[in-house]
Amino acid sequence: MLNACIDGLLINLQLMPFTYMLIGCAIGFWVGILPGLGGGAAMALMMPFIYTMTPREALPFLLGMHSVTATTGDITSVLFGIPGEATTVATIVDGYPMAKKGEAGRALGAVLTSSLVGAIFGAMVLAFIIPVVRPVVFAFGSPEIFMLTILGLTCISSLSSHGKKGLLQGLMIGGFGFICSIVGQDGQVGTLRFTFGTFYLWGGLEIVPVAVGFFAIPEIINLAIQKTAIAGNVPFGKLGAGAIEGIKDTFRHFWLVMRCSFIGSFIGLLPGVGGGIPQWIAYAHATQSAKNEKEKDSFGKGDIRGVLGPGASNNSREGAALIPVVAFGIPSGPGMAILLGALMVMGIMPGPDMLTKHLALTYSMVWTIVIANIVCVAVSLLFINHIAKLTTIRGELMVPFLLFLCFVGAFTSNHYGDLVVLIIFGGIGYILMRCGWPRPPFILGFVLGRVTEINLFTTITRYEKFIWLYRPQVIAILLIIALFIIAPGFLEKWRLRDEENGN
Amino acid sequence: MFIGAGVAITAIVKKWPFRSALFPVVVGLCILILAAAYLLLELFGKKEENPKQKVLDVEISSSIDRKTEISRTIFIFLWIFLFFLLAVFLGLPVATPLLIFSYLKFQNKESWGLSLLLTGATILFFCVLFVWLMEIQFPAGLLIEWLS
Repeated sequence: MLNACIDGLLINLQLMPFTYMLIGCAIGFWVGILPGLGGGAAMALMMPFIYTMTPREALPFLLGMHSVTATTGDITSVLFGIPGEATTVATIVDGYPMAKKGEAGRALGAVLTSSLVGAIFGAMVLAFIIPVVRPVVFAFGSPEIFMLTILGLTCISSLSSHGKKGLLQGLMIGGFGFICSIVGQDGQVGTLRFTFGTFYLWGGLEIVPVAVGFFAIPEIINLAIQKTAIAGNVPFGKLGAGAIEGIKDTFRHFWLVMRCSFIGSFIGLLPGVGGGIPQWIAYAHATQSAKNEKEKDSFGKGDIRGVLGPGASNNSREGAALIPVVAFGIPSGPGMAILLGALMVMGIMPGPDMLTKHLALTYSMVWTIVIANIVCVAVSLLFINHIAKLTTIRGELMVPFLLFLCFVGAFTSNHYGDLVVLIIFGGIGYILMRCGWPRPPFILGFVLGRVTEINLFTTITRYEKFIWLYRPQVIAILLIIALFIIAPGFLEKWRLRDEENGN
Repeated sequence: MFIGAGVAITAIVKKWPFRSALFPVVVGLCILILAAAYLLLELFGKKEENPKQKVLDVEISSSIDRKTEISRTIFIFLWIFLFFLLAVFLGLPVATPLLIFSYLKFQNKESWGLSLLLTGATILFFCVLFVWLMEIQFPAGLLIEWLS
């Protein structure tokens, strides 16, 4: 295990993987800062580039990019009250009032340092849980893997949209993803499925044009509609001086940062739980740390603890969220679902292989998160004044360039059909986004479709009738599925009751 | 729509062998049941105050008035479709600078200098990364093939 851990570090320190990680960090840096482009969309946009890379280069590239978006997303949240990422909304509550009070530097120093502490915490959780999770993965056969894919879909459906309707929407979209995944010639029998007489569809739908269309195109359309001028003419003054005070604040409230990191990691471990949840729980926990009413009142008006908590939890979640992906193939959100797709593109299947044959590669992910965040935070703190100026770039200038990247990236099989797929799925993605239907379940269904089909068929043919449903692991997973279906309804009821009582 | 999709899937797969039909049938039936449940909730369920549910996704800004939003949406879709046509008929290496320049100059109404500078930068990026480093062979467009 220790050897694999050291091998993982050595992989990251090789010239090409390290260079690709730095490139990924630079892209993630921009994506995090610029509102309108999410980490998931950026990951989808960059997927075509990994075809020419080895897994040792592609993973640091993608993960380096993904793991810094939450860190830099805090910058715009603090400076302008606009979240760079959906996961950095809670930082605004106290970060933006601090900026308005002229303490932007301090808030940025605090949020960046706490993000770094959180990221290292999350990476350590990932490193220490790998040996523990190994026997669990080995105890799983095809019925359990089949049920796990259903669990993943249920989790992401129930948590990516609220209420009963949200759950139903998510499951239907996930089902649509399953159907899209089986388009093409069936590998076993040779039946042509949903090809509609088109030769292009014989090989099935490629993940890159589908993912790029589904995630990147709607966000580009949104960017073109909003014409986002991120900062406008908001003055932000000199930030460097206060940043050192912010770093000191992180260590003054170190246990709060650690507790919030733990919250982020714990929630990250739960498959299907989106990035937006831990930041608010961490914020709520930070407010509870107030010793008296006067201290409690300071939250929302620029309390440093309200910045430290969400910052730490967001980043600690990233490392822990890799555990369900690596061990079971259950992603926690769109970004992780696309990373899962990338793993499959590289011929790496999540599960036992990741914990045996590719263990060094798994540990290299841990190191990527750590190194990428150290680099990102160091650069952010050193060039804080210049970075703030980046946010004045108009979003509309990026639209044609992003469109070009989408088109070139989608062109994976050198066939114009890729572009048709890109536009069709872009249109579907946009309609879903406009109608408030969740998109993440689709990509999960699409990525896991083939795995689910193989395991369903093996289960049905290997086990007599429904006897496999009585296996203890299957029952346990069924209970978790039931919990994920029922829990959001109860939570919603409690929330409504609390609101009524409050009024 | 999902009810229709569920029925269509289960009807189409009837002719397929068991091995190929099992998964789509299961998924199709599930979609059908879920869609029926959704329809029942829509018809008889409690009406929600905010019909647009809060989803784990990009938040669409509501600060723009409806008319501007519709016109911008139509324009961006037209641009995407135009880029697609250019890529198919002229090929991506020709379509890319054309799109970048025309979008910046005519849609965004940027200055000639900035439009040309960004177009040049994109051409450089395209040539260095895709042509030189990644050695991707982009097919010539249909029109160029026909002309040659």
